[in-house]
Amino acid sequence: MSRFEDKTCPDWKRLAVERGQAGGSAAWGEAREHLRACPHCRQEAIAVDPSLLFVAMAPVEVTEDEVHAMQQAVAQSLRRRSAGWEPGARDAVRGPRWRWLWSRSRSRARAPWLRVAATVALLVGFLALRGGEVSPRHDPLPEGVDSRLAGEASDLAPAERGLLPVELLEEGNEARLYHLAAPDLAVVMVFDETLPF
Amino acid sequence: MPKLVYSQDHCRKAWMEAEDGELLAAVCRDDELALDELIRRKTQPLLQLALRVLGDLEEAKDVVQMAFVKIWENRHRFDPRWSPNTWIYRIATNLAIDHLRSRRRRERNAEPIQYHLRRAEDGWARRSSAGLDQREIMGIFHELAAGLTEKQRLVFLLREVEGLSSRDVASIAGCRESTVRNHLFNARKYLRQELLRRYPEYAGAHQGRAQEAPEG
Repeated sequence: MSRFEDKTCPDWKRLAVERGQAGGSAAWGEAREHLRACPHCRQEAIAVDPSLLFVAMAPVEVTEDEVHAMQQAVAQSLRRRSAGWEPGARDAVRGPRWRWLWSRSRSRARAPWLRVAATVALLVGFLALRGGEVSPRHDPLPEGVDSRLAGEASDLAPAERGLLPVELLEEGNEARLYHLAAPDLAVVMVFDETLPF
Repeated sequence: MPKLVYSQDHCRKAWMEAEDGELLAAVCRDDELALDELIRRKTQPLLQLALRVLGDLEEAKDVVQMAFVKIWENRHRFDPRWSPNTWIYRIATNLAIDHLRSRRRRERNAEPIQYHLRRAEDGWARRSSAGLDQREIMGIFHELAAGLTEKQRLVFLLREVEGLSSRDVASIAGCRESTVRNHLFNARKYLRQELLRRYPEYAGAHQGRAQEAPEG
C-alpha cells in the first residue's frame, strides 16, 4: 500500500498542481501543516517540487517570557523616544496636532514650491550678505605690495589680506608675474591679458 | 492601588477576547493595554516573518520591537477601513527589508568569503532531506534567497510559508495581485533550480521538475 493511500498523508503530485493553479485552497493550507510535521512526506513533497522544502519550515516558537520581554522593550523604547533620547521621537512627543508638519508624504507633496521658495530665500540671503561686503574695505596693505593688486587682494578675507605678502616678480609688455608667499603657502600667478579666454 | 491593578487586569482580560480590529482601534485611542495585548498576539507571527526574511534571531527581535514602536507612533494614521493584519505586516516587512538592505550594504564585500566558510563548515556531506533539521532548512533558504529580489523573497515567504492570501500579500508588498503571482512563480522557479544545482543531495529523489504556470 502506497503512503498516499494512507488518509493522513496527502497526494503531493496533485497538491503541487493545485498549488501552481490556485495556491490558496483549504486543502493546500492543511497540507502545509502536515508537511511541517511529517518527515516522510517531506521527502515525497520535495521529490515532486524541491521548493516545497522551504514550505516545510516549522513555525518559530515564542515563550511567554519572550513576549513579556518584548512588551518591556517596546515600552522602554517609547519612553526613550518621547524623552528625546532616541531618534525619531518627534511623532511620539508632538502628537497628532503637529504631525502634519513633519509628515514625509506632506513634505513630498509640497516639495515643488517649497524647493523653489527655499532656493530663492537662500539666493536673496546670499546676495544680501555679499552686498554688505561689495564695497571694499581699504585695509592698509603690507609694505612692498603692489598697489595694483588691491583689486585682487580685496577678494580675500580681511584676515588673509593682511597676512599674504604679494610681490610683483616680473612685468612685461603683455604679462605680469606675481608671487604670494606665506609660511605654508606659495602661489605664483601669471596674468596675460592676450590669452584667448 | 488594588483597585487600579484589578481594573488593569480586567481590561487586559477584555482585550484578550477582542478582535484585531478592535484592538487596533483601542491603540488608536492611545490605550497602552491594548498595545500590550497586540504585542502579545503579534510577536510570534512578526518574529517568524522577520526571522525568515533576515535569518538572524537577534536582528529579527530588533525589527519586531521597532515595528511595535512604529505602530504606536503611527497609530493615528491607521484607517479603520484597512485590514489590521495587513497594516501591521506592512510596517514589519518594510522595516525588515530596510534592515536587510543596510546589512547587505555592510556585508557586500564579505559575502563570498562567508559563503565559502559556510560550505566548508558543512563539509559537503551528503544528507537526505528527511534528516534535515529546521536550522539547516533555514540556512539553505537564506543562502538561496540571496539570489531573489526583495519582493520575490517577501512574496514567497508571505504566500508560501505564512500562507497569506494573494490579496493580502499584494497589500503588504504594495503591488497588484498579478505581480504577486509573477513574483511567486519566479521565486519558486529560482529556488527549485538553485536547490537542485547547489544541494542535489537534498532533492535526490526528485524525478522531474514540476511544470507549473503562474497562478491565476
